Amino acid sequence: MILNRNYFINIIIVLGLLLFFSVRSSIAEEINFEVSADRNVIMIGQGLNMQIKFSNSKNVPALRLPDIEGFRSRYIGPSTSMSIVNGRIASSVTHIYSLVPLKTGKFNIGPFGFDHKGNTYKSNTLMIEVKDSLNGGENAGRDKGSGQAINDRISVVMEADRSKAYLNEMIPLTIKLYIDGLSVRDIEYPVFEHDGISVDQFKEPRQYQERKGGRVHDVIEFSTIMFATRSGNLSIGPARIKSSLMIQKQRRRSQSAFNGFFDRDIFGYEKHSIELLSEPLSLNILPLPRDGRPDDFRGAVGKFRMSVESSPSEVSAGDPVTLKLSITGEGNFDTVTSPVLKREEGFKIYEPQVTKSANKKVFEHVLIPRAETITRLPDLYFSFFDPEEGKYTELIKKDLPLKVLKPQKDEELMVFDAPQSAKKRPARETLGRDIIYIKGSPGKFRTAGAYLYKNPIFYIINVIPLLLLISLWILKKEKARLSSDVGYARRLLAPKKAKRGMDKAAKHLGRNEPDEFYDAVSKTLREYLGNRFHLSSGGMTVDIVDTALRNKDIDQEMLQDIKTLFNECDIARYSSKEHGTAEMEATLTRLREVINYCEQIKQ
Amino acid sequence: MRNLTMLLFKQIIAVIVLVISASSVYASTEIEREESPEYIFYQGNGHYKDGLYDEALVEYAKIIEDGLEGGNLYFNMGNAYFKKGELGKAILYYEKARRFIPNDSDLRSNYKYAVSSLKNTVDDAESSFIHDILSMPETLTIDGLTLLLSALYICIVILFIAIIYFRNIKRPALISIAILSALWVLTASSAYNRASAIDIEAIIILKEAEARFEPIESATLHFGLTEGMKVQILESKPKWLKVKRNDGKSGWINKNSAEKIQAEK
Repeated sequence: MILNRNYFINIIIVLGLLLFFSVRSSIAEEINFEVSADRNVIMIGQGLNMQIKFSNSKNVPALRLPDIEGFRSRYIGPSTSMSIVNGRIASSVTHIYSLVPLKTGKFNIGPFGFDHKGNTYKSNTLMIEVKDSLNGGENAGRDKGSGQAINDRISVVMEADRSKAYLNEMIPLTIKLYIDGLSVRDIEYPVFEHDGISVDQFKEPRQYQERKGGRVHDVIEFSTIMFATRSGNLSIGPARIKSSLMIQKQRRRSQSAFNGFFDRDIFGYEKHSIELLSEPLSLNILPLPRDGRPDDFRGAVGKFRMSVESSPSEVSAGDPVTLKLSITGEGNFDTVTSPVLKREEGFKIYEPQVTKSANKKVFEHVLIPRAETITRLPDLYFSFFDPEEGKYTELIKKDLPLKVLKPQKDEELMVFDAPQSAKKRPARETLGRDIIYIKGSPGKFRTAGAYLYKNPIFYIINVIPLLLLISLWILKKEKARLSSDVGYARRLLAPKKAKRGMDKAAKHLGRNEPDEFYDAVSKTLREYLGNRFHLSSGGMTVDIVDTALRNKDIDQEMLQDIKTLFNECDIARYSSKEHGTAEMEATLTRLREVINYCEQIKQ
Repeated sequence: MRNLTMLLFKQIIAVIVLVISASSVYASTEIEREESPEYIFYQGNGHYKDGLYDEALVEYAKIIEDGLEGGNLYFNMGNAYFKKGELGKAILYYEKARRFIPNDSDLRSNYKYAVSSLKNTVDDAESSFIHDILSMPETLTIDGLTLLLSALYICIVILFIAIIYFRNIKRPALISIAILSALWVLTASSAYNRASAIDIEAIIILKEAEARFEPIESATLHFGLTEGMKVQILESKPKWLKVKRNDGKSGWINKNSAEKIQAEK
């Protein structure tokens, strides 16, 4: 038993040593780096597997491949292997990538490089030829242009019926998916941005074939209608369609007779998600014209007809009449609102019930005539804008007859007078309660937050009465003082009178009339001093002035000037001395200086 | 000579281009005026009549986005929210409308009905002469109160002027001035209160809102608020509002629970 245990331990030690040395030898060896493909010639619409094999190591991570011209790549996964040959362990890892060709031609793939533990490795180069035909002979007759991209084989085209339309006008929109000989599945409905445009749901897609660019394409057509909700230049799209491209997988050829069949089954294809983009569209949306817009226009755009049915045609006052207004035609029914009822006096009108179907909108009004004098239904007006004609059309239904009878009161009385109900009081009427209907007119709009008390002009206007009050009060006070205080009144008048006197003196100076000039100067001076200092102007002499002004805190020099003026005037008036113009000008200047000085002193 | 003709021709072309571009500028301004607020209002009414309340609200909101507001507009928006079953929002818009058309009987009726719908009771306000007198300032808009203040003030000024010029009416004029001044003070106080409340009043628009002691989700609950309740905003934080209830209690609520009556610019 002990022997057996020793034998087992020896085997483990030997195996461990072997493994240790073999691993050491494998680490010490260089990594081989090789790129290969399962085939070198493929057709567009098929895929191929590319393997990147790292020998002597199984720990190399997958390379992040750069963009490969003419192909779209996808990492599938790793595959590791280990082999012992002549007691030597060899390990390797193969990273597998799927490549899908995007266009035809001959392409070089690689070389690829990678760094591992400080060493840089470089792979070999692969040459792959991508041919146009999917099924060889089947498409042999078609044009095989070299360098044809997958975009030429599958594309999306978005088309609007017209690029110029009016606001709210219906515009048919078509999105076509063109497929040329490719297998495409899981096609989703198109999606696109449509800011400012309302788009209806897509109808069931239509499939047919169409010749485009000299080749027959399978077409899947998505159609809908749209309308713009604002005017201006609007952009729509690009339309995106998500789908899956089925790429034929490579299978190893075998001699089996069934392989030809199984190559084409669902399991023989690989699915690749693709997203296709169309070109965007631009639309020029015109606003509805203002000219000729009827008052009752509520925004309907299209070409419509209006029909009216009313029932019954003969009712008692207080009984309901149903007015059924049908709007039919072509256009944007979202913009169609109930026709306007005019001359509806004498009717109680309830909100209409609206039913909408394809190309038809029906408004059912319930009307109750209040009096038997009514002979007609209200007039009906419906206006719409016809984008084809480019003008508004108003449909009017007038004078629709209605016979209203007297309410049958007798019958009601009979009911209440019946013996079994005579004792019972009529049940109290139960009335419904609801909110009162919306306002029909917009009333006055105001800038948000623009309150009167925030408006500075309002305050300025309000200050005016206060200023008026203050002014009138001052005026009244002034008037009262003028009438009671003679000295004050004289003082106020003094400069005005003096100015007139000086003007008169200046005139005489201009005419060279010395006597009149000095008379005017003397009179002006006496009057001014009399008024200004409340003195008697009549008997004013130099002495009186001197005595009166001595207490007034007047500059002595100025007092002397006043005296000089008096003297000059007296001399001129009572002597025969001739006076020149210059002398008179000096006198007038002195008079002005005296008056100006006196005006400045306080009293 | 030929060069001169070419130059003249180019100048004529330039003038024509200028005239056309100027007229296109005029046309573009016309386009801007195309959708007048009245037109949009009627569009909204059209949708409302068809029972398309969301579409009606979209149209009405366009007018507000243009920086305009009006009593009838807010009334109709209140109705649309009422029909949608959003009573809090309905009351909010009726409150907005009350700032423009406080005397409108339709508005009073709908407002009262919306409030009673929330409380499940009919909330008929007491009506008496004294109540009517005291609530008179409520029947005026802020602009109406401002104009009333201005009118009272002008009357006082006129009476003062009359005293200055007609001494014999001094006594009755002074009594009138005293009465008018008292009225002016009362009106001014009411106008001041109303103007102060413009930017702080809000309505609870969620079915229920919880006021907490602190602006933190985990804070202790203080009191509850129900849809349509009017509150005063005391303080605002990015996600919280400090509000005061009518009974004087104040607490923090989530910002999306309430909406100010006066929309912020």
